Amino acid sequence: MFWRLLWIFLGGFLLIALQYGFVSFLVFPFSSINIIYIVLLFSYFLSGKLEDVFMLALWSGFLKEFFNPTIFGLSSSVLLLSLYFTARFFEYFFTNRTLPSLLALNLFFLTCFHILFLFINAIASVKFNVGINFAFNEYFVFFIEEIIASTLVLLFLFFITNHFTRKLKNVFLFKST
Amino acid sequence: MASRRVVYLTFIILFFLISSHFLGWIKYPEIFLNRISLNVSGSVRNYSQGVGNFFQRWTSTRGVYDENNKLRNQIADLLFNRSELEQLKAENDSLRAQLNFAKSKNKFTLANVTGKVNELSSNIIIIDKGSNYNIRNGKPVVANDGILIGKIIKVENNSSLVRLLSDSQNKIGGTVLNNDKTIGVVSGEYNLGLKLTMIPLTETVNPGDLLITSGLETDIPRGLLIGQIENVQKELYQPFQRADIKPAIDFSKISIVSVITE
Repeated sequence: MFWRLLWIFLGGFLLIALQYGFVSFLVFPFSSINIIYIVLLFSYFLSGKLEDVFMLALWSGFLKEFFNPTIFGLSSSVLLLSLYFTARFFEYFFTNRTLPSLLALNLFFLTCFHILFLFINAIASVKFNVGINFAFNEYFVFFIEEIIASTLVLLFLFFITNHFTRKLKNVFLFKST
Repeated sequence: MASRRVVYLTFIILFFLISSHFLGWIKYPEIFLNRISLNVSGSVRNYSQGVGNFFQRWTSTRGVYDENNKLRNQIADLLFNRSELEQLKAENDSLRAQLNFAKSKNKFTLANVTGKVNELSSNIIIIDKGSNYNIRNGKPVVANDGILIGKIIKVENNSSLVRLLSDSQNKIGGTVLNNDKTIGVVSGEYNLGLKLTMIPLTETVNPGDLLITSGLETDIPRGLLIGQIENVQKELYQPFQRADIKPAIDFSKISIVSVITE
């Protein structure tokens, strides 16, 4: 238990440092990669242990709040909620560890995250005047960039993991002969 | 079942953390954690910058590598040293320019760029100075000889977030240095470039004209350089003209900035 918590503690710092100290400075389109979301999603997809991923999401989400322009707590709450919904989605719909499942989870997770974020941000703007106004077209372009970048990274991670462990499958359904 | 319990517990902890933040109960642990993450992020940034410079040099002289196999190791060592020296030289130039700016009437605080936030369609940099150095929200941030790069949007005790001019949510008043002294609104476009909008149709703006801050905002003094007009789009059916601006500095290569505090 102690070692697991220590890994989560250090992992949170590492993810924040890599995201804001390294990935964000890369050239486009690599700068659109969100390493925090990718690590959370891929580690859940591989292990299926929601509790560890949730603890890491809580910790990294809390650290992320220091570097986030939005109201404190918004980003981490939305991160945890969308992770929870994605876990339920994985549990009931895309139950096997295949490439289409991973890509569907990625799409679902990011869509869920941005819809929840915009919804709560809109409430914060209207009700408490603390939200941020986003231009729809620019936000949408950013969303598409993020989906493409994370899909490419997840594809890479999937094939690397599959090459070494052979745990994952490339096809979703097996054809009956 | 156990995982569901952990999930609920996580949400309760998050609720407690958010409430404690707004009530100020975890102020000191937050300062401590912020400082650690800032230092770790800054170290990763410095290291990656050094490695990036090294690879840039390495790729540019790869031909020399191929021709001089005997000197390969020696060249690699020299390149690494050169990349370090170039980084130091750039830092030195930047500090000298900041020093010239310091001789002006503004009071300022020097800060290092320790990170960058690209999430949520924003273009924000993280600097290592905060409210401890009299930095407040809305204060302008400049580089070199007074080139405006952005505004402070969030302040912690020992760090701040700067929204760059290229962020589409950043809007400030700008004056073109032409005969009409045209005033317009400067904003970012897709986090890549800058544009000047709301230019009256009757005024003449030419490519090459310099653009400075108008001073119409409370915290931003007049005269800070923003960039140069690149091209002007004038359509008779539009109520205003718009112009693309070439920024006076490359926003992606800023490592030291000054925050004008008074």
